[in-house]
Amino acid sequence: MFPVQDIENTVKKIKQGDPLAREDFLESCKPFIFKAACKFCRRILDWGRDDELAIALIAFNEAIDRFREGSGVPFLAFARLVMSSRLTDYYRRENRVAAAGVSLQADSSNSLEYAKSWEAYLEEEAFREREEEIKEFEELLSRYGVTFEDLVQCSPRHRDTRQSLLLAAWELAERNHLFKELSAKKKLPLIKLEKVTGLSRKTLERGRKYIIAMAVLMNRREEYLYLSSYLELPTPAKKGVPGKNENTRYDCQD
Amino acid sequence: MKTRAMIVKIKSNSWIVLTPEGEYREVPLREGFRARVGQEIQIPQKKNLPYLRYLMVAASLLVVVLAGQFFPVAPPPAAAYLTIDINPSVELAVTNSAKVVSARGINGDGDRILAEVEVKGVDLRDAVARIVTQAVADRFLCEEEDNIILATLTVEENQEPLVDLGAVYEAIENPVKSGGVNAEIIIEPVEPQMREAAAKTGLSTGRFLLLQKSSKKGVQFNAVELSAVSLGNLEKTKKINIIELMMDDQDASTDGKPAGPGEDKKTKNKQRGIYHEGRMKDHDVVKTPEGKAAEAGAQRYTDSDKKDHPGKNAVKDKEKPKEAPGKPNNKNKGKSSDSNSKKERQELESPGDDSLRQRPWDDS
Repeated sequence: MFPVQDIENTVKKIKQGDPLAREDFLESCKPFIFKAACKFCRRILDWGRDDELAIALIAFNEAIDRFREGSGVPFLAFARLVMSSRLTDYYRRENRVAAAGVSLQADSSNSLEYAKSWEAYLEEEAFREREEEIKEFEELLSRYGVTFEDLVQCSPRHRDTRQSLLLAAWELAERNHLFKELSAKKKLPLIKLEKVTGLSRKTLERGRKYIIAMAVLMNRREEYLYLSSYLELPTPAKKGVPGKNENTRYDCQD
Repeated sequence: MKTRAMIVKIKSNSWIVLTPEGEYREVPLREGFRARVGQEIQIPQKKNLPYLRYLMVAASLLVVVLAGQFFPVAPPPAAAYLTIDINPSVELAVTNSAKVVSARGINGDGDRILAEVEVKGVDLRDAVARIVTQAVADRFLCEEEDNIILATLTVEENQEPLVDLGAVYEAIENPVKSGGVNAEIIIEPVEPQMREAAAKTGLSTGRFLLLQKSSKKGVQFNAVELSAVSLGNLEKTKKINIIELMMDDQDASTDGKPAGPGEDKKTKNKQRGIYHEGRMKDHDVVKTPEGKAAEAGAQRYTDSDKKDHPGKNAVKDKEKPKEAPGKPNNKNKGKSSDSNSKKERQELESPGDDSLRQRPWDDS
């Protein structure tokens, strides 16, 4: 399965009360928090020196508690929203303090009304983000000469075919040299992929656009959180791919 | 069954969606539903039959074909055609269930008579009776004249006539009788090809048949005069006997074998017509070479005594030489059994005779 879906399960476990799991989870997600915070602040942050990272980490922890399953928003996207929101609050406060020297403590932050509007805000934000993400994805695909219409055309109708193509896409996304070849040439490395997946050339050729689209999505899954977490992808039968990559997933350099 | 999907693109009249299973699909836009990209919607589950569309096309075609079988839009096709020639010539198209689907007049009198009677959708026997009644009323058939009614019915080869010839005979005879008219009634089964050939010449099948047979006998007809003149007049002017003409050919077609009543049974599948000699010819003398026919005629005379006008057998042999000059006179003499069988038939066919009910064609 996609690692993003594992996270959902982990969050569930943590919420049921497993402090050790929470610690582990926070630790494993630090690269993601770092990356999201850097993106928000538009500069490279440093653990232990910048307040923003601490605030982001607290916000991430808050997100674990606030996260509601089935809201249609994947956890990481939700956490990112909470972090952005908290960082915005932080900057606003800082500015005010700097400007007027008056501390306008978020006194109403705990009131029900505030909580409600905040949730509505998050929901709206999530929607906006998702919309943006899909448009971005479409643009990315166009660089490979693939449109959504093409995907409708060549989407494998049969479940078995779809699964084998998705596995091929997974292999392509996970093998760096293969994916680099793809992004460089914008072409499927058919012969190598044929060897790796054991699928026939014909099958690969037929699902070419589909494999490209899915491989791109899988490769940049932490960027396309909404889309990638929406997919209920089959468990790769061989090699426990997700576990192995657990730690390197949220690398900034990715 | 519905499944969820995320809208990834909104097009002018459809959405492209992505299902959790990783399938991209295009679904029609829903009216009055403003969707945003990224919104999750419910879409109908994918059909499991990839060839469903073709199956549907095939099935609906089948339904149309089958429905066409049970609910015919057009009137049922004519299975047989019946023509009646008195002077008015009409043709009736008949369905399998002996209903008249259409009628047309072949000459002007035929058109007129059809304008006066309603035959469409009526049972064939009724239709025939109505036409003949109307013909009597319009004085196409009158007491003083020699009346001949010639009817033909198309019969497919090796098949029983669609309508019982006897029934048609009765349908013609009854109104003739009740109108107080005497008429010679001929009902001749013909092949459909014959009708087609007749239609080409513009003649009724009956008259066309007459034309053909008479030309075989060496009597020349003018097609134009044939189409307009009443058959009775025709017989008079050309000095021929139509009944004879028809019957002769029939006998000849059985390869000169005796065509007695017994033979009739055997050859009932062969085309056999009904020849009823019902005319009154007081001026004619009953004379046959063997003298047997005279006896038969005499017998018939007494049979039909009760009627005001005693019937007499037509004298065929008297007219024979004129009719067929090229042929030897003694054709009938040579086949005595043949003429005997004719005599017997005449006995059977005499009007008012009870033996009518035992006509050989009723045996079928």
